[in-house]
Amino acid sequence: MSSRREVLVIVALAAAVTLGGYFVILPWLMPITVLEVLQGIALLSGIAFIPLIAWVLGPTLPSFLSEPLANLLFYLANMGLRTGVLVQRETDEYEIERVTDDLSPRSYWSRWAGARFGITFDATREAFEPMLIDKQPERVLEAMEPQDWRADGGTLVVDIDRGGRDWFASKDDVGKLLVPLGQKLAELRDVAGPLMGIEAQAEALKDHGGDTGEFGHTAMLVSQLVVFFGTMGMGYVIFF
Amino acid sequence: MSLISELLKFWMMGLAIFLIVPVLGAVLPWSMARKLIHQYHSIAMTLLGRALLMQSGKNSYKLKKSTFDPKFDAERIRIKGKPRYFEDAAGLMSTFKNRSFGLVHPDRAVVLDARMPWFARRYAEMYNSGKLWDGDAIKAYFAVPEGVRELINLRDIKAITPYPGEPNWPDRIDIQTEKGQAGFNSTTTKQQLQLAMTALLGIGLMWGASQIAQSGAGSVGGSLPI
Repeated sequence: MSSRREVLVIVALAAAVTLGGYFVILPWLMPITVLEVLQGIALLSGIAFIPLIAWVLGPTLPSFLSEPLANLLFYLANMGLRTGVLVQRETDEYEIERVTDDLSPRSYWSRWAGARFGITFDATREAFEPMLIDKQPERVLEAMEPQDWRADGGTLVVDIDRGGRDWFASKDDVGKLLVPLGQKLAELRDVAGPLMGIEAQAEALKDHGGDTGEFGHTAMLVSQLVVFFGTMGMGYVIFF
Repeated sequence: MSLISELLKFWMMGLAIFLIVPVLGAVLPWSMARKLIHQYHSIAMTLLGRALLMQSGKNSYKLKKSTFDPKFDAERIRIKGKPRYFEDAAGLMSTFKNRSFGLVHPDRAVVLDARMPWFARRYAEMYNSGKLWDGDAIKAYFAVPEGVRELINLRDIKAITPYPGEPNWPDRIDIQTEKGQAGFNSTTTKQQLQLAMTALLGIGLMWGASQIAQSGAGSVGGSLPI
């Protein structure tokens, strides 16, 4: 956080207090006129304008309006944040926090909307057990049965070949979680791209496919023969 | 008119107050600023509905409004006006301020979370140091230091996705298919032309045959010897 920004903030705060005092608080100390009531309503509606737009219209706003507006709000909020991290909680939800300690690796610090910014996750036991596999807790429960665990040099780890190939917390005594390389990594590696390519190809053919549903070569030959003999018959009737 | 401009002045002052307030969080302790800043994040996410935080360049991020496209079963965002698709293959889409939220890298057509790049980096480290394999089997678990936070970088996901789909695949495939199918469309026109020519040929043949028959009948009748 630069001191220049702090000065700017203090100046902005002072300006807001002065203007607010002059236009809002001072008139409140004196008898209120209709005009002043209207001014108060206008001020409040100005304050509430963007939240109202968000709550009333929300995602129905077209992206060319909502995206810049949302990014402006993030930019302003991030100026107040200074240095922040996006944390994935053990419940999988994300939250933004201000941090003062310097997380590592240092080269992974980035910038997002005016703030020094990083992404991290809470490495707690709750973050890894029990995992929901594709939102199917029964698979997890089945996999967490004691018989699916095995002793491995004093550390219990999950046998990943049984029950479900996903990551699970295992218990050890050195304050670490042992997390198997899981199904999700495999899915990321194997499935995503090619599958989307195949779907895209099918959709594109649906949109742009030419004569795929009309004539084949045989159907074309038959059609030509029918037309040929049909018109010969017509010609016979007309000319003879 | 002066009343309207007076009210407009106050309205704009209110708007300015709304926009200035979160900046004040910079001089407040986090315990006080937290709720205020989270409220602004919440309003921003309400505006977006669904969003993807995309890494852009080496070390910066952009927030993009996302739409779920059932055609490709993928999240769609627009980059420079063109659609880009990210498939949530591993169910990693989560929430931020109660709105759907995920992380994406522009070179990989998958939705990520904060944990995956961490594992990808560890995986690459173990692979490169030859420690991934334990005999014939992959050493399939990693030690995560409990309670210790480490930063992640989304580009690390490249280590485990060597043959990825790219976010612009659907768009590119659509353009290429349109080009490829253009030949079929012209074929259809040719086929229709062929049918019309066949019809003309059929009727022309009959007309020709009738002409020959008429002239033939006359000449045969006139030249027969009695």
